[in-house]
Amino acid sequence: MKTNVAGKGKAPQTHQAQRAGALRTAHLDVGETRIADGGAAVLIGRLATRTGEATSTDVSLIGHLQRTQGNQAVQHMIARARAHIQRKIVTVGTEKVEVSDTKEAAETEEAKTIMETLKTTYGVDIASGTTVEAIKEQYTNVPKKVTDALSTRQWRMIELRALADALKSYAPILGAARANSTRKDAAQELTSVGKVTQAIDTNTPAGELDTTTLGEYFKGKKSFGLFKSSEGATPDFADEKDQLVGTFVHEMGHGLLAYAYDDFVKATDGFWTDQDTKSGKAGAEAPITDYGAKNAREDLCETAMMYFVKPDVLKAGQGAAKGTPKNPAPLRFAFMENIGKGWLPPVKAAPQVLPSTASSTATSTATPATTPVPAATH
Amino acid sequence: MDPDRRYEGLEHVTHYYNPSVSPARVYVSDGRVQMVYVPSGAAVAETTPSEIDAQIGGRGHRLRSRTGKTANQYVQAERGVAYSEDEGRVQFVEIFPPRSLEAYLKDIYRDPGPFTR
Repeated sequence: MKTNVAGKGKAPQTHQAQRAGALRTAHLDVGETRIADGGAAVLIGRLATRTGEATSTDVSLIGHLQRTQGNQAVQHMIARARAHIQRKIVTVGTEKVEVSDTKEAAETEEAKTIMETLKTTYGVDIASGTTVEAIKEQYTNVPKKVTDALSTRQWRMIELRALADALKSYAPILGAARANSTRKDAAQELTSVGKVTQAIDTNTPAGELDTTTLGEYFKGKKSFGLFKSSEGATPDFADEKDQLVGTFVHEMGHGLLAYAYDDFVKATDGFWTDQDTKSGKAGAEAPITDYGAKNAREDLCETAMMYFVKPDVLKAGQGAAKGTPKNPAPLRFAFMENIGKGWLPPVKAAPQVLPSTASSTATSTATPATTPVPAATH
Repeated sequence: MDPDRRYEGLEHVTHYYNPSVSPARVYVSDGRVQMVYVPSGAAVAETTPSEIDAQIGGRGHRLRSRTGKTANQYVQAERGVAYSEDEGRVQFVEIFPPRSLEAYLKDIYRDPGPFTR
């Protein structure tokens, strides 16, 4: 691995010229030997840790590197270095938010607006510290040194935007609108959301911080967390924003749809014997994802995820035969349609209105909340 | 009665359930009871994990429970008992013909896989 031989045997150069020369040399190494991943990584790592010094020359050279080699690993490292160069972390309220260097003011303001809107419209606080406390409260058998290692993490703008989109899905039963819904007599099951670095794998003395949990709902604190593992992960959708909306809708479902678990079991064609047990009934409509086959609660949350993000996929399936996960799920689609309608109070009978007075007389005494609709219309 | 059903790894079993008689679900094949499954609800609500442990001689082997990420399933296969608990509450109980742990894992238990969301 060759890295920095620029300037050898030549007249002294400025620091910047040396750095540019090193990059050019690295480029040649990569192009000619095709084994210089490590060298490129060192150089890019240097750039990434020296963000304040990064120049347009550096960025240009990185681009040249990217164009002239085809190694995906190196491209990934370059992308990370670029992202690092162009991002910074700001504080908004109690939260850290990663914003673009070149759009710092606008994105900071946008983050602030999203957080305020989620609080005032939906009654949901962005409060990562609360989520950390929620994890500690729920994982009571885990060693203290593990729970003490839990830490909040900065939000990305894509996450905040996806969170705002996801909450629209449940708008009729959130915030002030809930008082006009059929859920008005039950306390709102979701009041805060947090971004946390890692979750915990099991609630036992052997429990450890994990690297696989994307999101998790914590009933005790009516909170759910999004974890670092979700960053860039797309297990269900090709687009990361869709995935984030889906993950949020899923986690919210564990709180907001929990009242409907038993109804869901009854509505799914006998696939479930109860919330925890599959029946084995031949040909029964199966969950829309493999993950939904864990239990009926996960099935409902996966159903909600697909209904709000890719409703056509929920109806038509993902190519699997009936009775196996990813099959067409019209019953589950219908369940979501009905549950949304069920949030609205019955519309009272409209008074008789004569045609001659129609233009100046109200025709209904009820103003139902907005019917939840799949995300295609978000 | 539902013929040709399944309980986790047990396939082609007949399912018997009469809630007016018992909350338990019974799975039978070849004229032999293969599983008595007591789901969550009133029947297990007043039972604690410690009480079950005391009856069967200890907590048993821990497994991932299909009920959720924070839940644990404990099996004393040689005693023919397994149960799932979460936050100190029993979620379901399984009673089955005693067998080795290996046989339980092979014939009955199905790992739900990690809960990641």
